[in-house]
Amino acid sequence: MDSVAAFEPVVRLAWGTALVSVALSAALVVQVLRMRRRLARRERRAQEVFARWRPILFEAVAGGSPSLPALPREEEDAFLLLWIQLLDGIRGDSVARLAEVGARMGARRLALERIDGGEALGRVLALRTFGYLQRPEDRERVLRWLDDPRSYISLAAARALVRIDPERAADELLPRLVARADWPVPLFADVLAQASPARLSARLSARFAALCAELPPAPLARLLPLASIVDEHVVDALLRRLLSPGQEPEVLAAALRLVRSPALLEPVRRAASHEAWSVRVQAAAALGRVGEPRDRELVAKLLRDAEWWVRYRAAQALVTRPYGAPGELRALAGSLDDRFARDMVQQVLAEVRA
Amino acid sequence: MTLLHAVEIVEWVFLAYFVALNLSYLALNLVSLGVIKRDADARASLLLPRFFSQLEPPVSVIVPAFNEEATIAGTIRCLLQLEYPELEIVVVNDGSTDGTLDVLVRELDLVRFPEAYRVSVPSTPVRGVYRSLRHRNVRVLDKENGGKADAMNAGINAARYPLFCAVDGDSVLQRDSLTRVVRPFLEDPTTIACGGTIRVVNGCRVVDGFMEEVGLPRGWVARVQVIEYLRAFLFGRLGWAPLNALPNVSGAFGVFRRTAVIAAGGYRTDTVGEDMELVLRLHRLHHLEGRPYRISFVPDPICWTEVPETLRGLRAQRIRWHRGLLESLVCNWRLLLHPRGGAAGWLTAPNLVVFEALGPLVEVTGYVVMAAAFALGVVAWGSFAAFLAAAFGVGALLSANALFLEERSFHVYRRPQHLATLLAAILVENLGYRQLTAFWRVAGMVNWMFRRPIAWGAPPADAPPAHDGTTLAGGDPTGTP
Repeated sequence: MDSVAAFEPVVRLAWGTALVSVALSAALVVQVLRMRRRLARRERRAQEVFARWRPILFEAVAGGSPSLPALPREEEDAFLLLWIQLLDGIRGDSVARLAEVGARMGARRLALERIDGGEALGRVLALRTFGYLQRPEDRERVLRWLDDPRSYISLAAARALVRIDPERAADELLPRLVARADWPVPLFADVLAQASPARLSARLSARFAALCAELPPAPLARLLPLASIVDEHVVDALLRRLLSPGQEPEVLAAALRLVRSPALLEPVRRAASHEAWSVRVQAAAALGRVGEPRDRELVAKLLRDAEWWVRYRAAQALVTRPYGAPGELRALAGSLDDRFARDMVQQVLAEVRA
Repeated sequence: MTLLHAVEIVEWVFLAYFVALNLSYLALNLVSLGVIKRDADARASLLLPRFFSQLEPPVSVIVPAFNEEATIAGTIRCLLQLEYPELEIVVVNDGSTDGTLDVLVRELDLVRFPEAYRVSVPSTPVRGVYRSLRHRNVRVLDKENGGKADAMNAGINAARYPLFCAVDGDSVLQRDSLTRVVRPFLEDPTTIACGGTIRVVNGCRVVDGFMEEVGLPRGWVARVQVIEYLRAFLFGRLGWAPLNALPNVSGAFGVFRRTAVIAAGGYRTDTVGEDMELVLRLHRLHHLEGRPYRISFVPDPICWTEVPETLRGLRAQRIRWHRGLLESLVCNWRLLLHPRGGAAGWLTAPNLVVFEALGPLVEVTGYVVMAAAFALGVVAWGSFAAFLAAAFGVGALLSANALFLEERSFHVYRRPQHLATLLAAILVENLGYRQLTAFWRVAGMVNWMFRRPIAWGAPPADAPPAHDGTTLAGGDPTGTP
């Protein structure tokens, strides 16, 4: 047929595309099969290692002195993974006992072999191992990875540094937290909490406060939630400064969220009439936490605010101790001529009842 | 011009379109390969236990429900088991005509609650708000029927937290789904929305609302959709995400910053693809107003959803999806090639118009023209077969690559028979299924042109709730006030 010749280049191209596509598809399928075989082998080995080592490590956690079998090379990664997972899940003296088992098994050598290797998992395991072994000579080695652009590597390094030397780690970590927007503050709080689970030491807290003094509003507002784990005296001094007039609304709001001390009442009262509702709402909440009976009128005024959230926090504040019992709020509701304020009081009273 | 020349020109046009389409897929595949590699490395660190520091932003989970008396209690029980430091659940009963509200009252021990309900985005009137005596973080809104988007808007109005999670009543989640999808909000404060990979739940074993054992559906209609979902999410979404050009966050499970959605006006109630429309609108408004933002995607399989098992159900779904796509594009046409449109305006929107919206029309026209030319003797069997083989080969390659990405990343379908079934599904997909769905998508265009009504909550038999707009051929700045 004449048409065949006319379309020859198109037809050839189409056949070529088909053949190349099918060949590539077949290659991908072969690759999938190979990956499956490799993965199955690795998982089987890991299960064997877990089954063998879990009772031994548990015995160590419980204070026993288990005899430690040899660790073949192909089982090292699985052992490290299990060891770190268990360490992450325990607290107190048993951490030291389990860390000791790792040290006897040559965990440091394993970490040294993996820290500069190509595998991401190996590097994370190495960094975490250095952290749990807490050897000062590994600090510099860990520090090299603190500026890695991948947050999971840099945060693993941060975690290790806090374990090795929490006081010095603060000097390294806090300034970096400002620069590293990819370090989630909640995760970072968890990293710091390793140093002292309840509240940070006075030195760490002072370092944090000094850093906050230098920061512009946006990063300051981002970092301020960390103050919830900072030493109380340091945080009060910091908040007193941040709650000064003329401060940016985002900083004021972040600072007000942290107010727990009646000593800060004056700036809180001032903030209750701030033009930004994001500040007024936090002032209402703070008045609920630290207010005095004489602030009742101020809170009642916030109950008539144009913004729903301000009214809500004000109503919640009014059912707290300094302002009297829910009965008084019910009486207040009866006297309100503002329908929105009255509705809000009804809602909060219902919440209290529930 | 002879008929022969005309057919030759048409062939070259189709070939050019075919090449452009597949180059765009190739580009998405290449980006996805890089992302999957990075993500696999990052997940290495997640093998270790995660902690909550109580500084994570609290989340309002919004569950719109219409006539779901059989499943709603199980859905809530499942949501209550999500691992997350602070969350509230807002169920929106969208004027159900069955016993949905009664079930909720009974199962959750609900009492009427005098909520000072505020209207940030419009919705049909709320008849009442209830609070659970059994679970303090659960509230139920009972409102007049207005559709899924309207129910979501009511839920947004009642939400107390800076992030809200939109979840379909029939979505199956994992305990850590919320933790995973909130993470981008922690890593980048400009994040306004984040979605994750949706997988097919048909054939899986689900216990107490959670995935217990992954399996494959029994029927081929659903099996092929497993491949489709792999393609759509593992290189469709994953490829767009690094460019900040994600076309959609699935309504089945996605997290949004409440203030961003309220500022955008909430969900539109006059489209059937409200989730995609919202995401395109967020792109448009943020780009055109020069506001920094990010719409993220986590490749983790965080949500499993029911897909149609029958051709009838599939047909209804594809018509609805295609109409939703067209409506979303029309609503946001200003994003297309806008000077300040960014990657969403210069890559996503043109791609959606040229390849997703018009693709089925070109594909169907191609089949018809080639078949007609062959029937008239203008095209030889060899030419005809060559084009069919090319279409099959490239389609199979794209699906095989999606399977490869899945193996490289999550390896969810672990059994050898899973792999064999999925390989067979690739063949079925390219030998009939894809052509069939192309015809249905053209029907979706017709449906859109004539504005035929499609009601939510009353879909044709076997069609699941709308959850995904793409048919890839495949706050508060300071937290809770």
